[in-house]
Amino acid sequence: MAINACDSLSPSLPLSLSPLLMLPLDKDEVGHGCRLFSLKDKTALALRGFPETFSDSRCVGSSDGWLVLLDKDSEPYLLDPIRGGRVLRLPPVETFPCVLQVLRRDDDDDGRGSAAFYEAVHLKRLRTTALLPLRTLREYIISKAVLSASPYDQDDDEGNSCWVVAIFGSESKLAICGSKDFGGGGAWTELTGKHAPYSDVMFYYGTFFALGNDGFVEVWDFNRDHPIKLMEIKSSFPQKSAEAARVLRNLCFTNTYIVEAAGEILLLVRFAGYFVNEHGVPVEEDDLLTDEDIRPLVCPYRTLYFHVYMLDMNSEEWVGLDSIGERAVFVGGSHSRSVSVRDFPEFEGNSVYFTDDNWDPAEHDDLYGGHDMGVYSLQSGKVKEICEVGSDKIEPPPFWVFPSDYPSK
Amino acid sequence: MSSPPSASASSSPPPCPKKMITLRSSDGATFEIEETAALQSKTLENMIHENCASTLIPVPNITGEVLARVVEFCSKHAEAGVDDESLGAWDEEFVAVDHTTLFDYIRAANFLEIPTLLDLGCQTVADMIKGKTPDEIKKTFKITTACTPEEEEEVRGENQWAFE
Repeated sequence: MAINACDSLSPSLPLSLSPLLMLPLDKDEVGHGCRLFSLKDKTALALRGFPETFSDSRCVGSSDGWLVLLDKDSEPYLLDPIRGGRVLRLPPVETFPCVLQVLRRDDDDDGRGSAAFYEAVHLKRLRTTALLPLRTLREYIISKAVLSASPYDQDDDEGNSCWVVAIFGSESKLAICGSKDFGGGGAWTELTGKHAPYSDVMFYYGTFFALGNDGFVEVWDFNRDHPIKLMEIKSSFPQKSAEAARVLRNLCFTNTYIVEAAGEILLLVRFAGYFVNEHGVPVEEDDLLTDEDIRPLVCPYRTLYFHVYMLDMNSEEWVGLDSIGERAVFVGGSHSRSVSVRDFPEFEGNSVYFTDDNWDPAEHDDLYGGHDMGVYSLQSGKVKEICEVGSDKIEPPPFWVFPSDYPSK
Repeated sequence: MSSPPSASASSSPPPCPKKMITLRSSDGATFEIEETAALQSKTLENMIHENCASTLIPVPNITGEVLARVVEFCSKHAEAGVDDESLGAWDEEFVAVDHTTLFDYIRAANFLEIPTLLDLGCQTVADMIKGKTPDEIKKTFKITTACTPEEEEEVRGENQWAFE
């Protein structure tokens, strides 16, 4: 299967389908594209020749070998990095419920927009309308997007065989579009769930799992013309992690992920220090500058550890796990996935491979970002580097790319 | 991005034409504001920075009457050479209006993200509330919608700190 697929790929692309780390091109490299770093060979393949729009886009998802991006006008599209940067446009950003109107430039014949009225809801009650340049809208509109399958697996016009689900807006609700709308038409429609704000979403063979901030899981069936809700699992957010997050709230921020591993549903809670010193200890912002220092200590945010839980469907609760055996889990801005290290021995089992997904506009810093990546071992409780990282801002931030199985056609 | 001034041979550079931003109120009236004054508004500053300010900018929910005054406020605060005392006196006069207009100023300042006007408006309202009982506040602001005892309990519970 792999050999046939490689006919259309650059001959030097690794034959394995193992997860790759997408990094930006080197500063001196010309063209638009990225580098795909293989942990197996410890080498990166530079892919140039992507459409120009890629260099000015914001990546909000990586799923089934495709990237989900927002161009400079906040218009969403899919891009296939492995097959030369083929682009599929998604429905216009104006069709999101929270985008009230896109203002078009008078002088532009294409009618491209310049700014938009964006509605945000604060504290569940206050509705405000903000006027944002489209470039800025990108930071608020979609926090993560996943695909149900690769668009290449599409059957001929038989309904939607590929869906895109996005966590959108200030309330982190869900919006979907189907492959019938690819090409720039159609609209995003809201998937009405009861557990917004959502922290993470994932697909497992056409079944869709949405994890609410409250820990509850909503399950939907997307293997049909229109998704229908199958069940709601009332698994409250684990007390242990909630308490730890509360105690450490001045030092750490958290992020939660839902992932399938060996047929089980796992919850991962990521603890990252806002400011972590060279000894790996999170410090408070006030402690960065003492009376003797001329400049504050440079302590970037860094992930410290993960709490891992497994869903017990019968008791509807998250049960703490000390080990995930020979599985390796991949989290970050990409579609949360796991693999067995028996299939991919370059990865360590019982580990969480993570990339930086701390892109909160409020925490925005122009000097650095994208660096918070590594591998956390459940056994040792420690984090290791996966590849060397400079001190400059890594833009776009790294993403895991999972090349999908290529169809024989 | 603004273009750099051209190097001319004459002894003094020609005066730069003042860049104007056009705003449109909810009732269709348009107002021009100098770019320097517009920078008082973070919203407009972002638009200018991202090159989106050359077209008409609609300001929803703000009538022409209020928008005119807000433009006046921004222009006044962008003026050079005004001392703090006279500016403070000007501000005091600016907010000497009925509470409906005051709320309109706050709404406009919120949408346009004008920190100076937002602070001024909110502080004025806060001073109007300070020291009054709930009933007196209702009378001052002509609040007629009633809260059920349960709703009141819920809000009190959520805001314990205010009663400490």
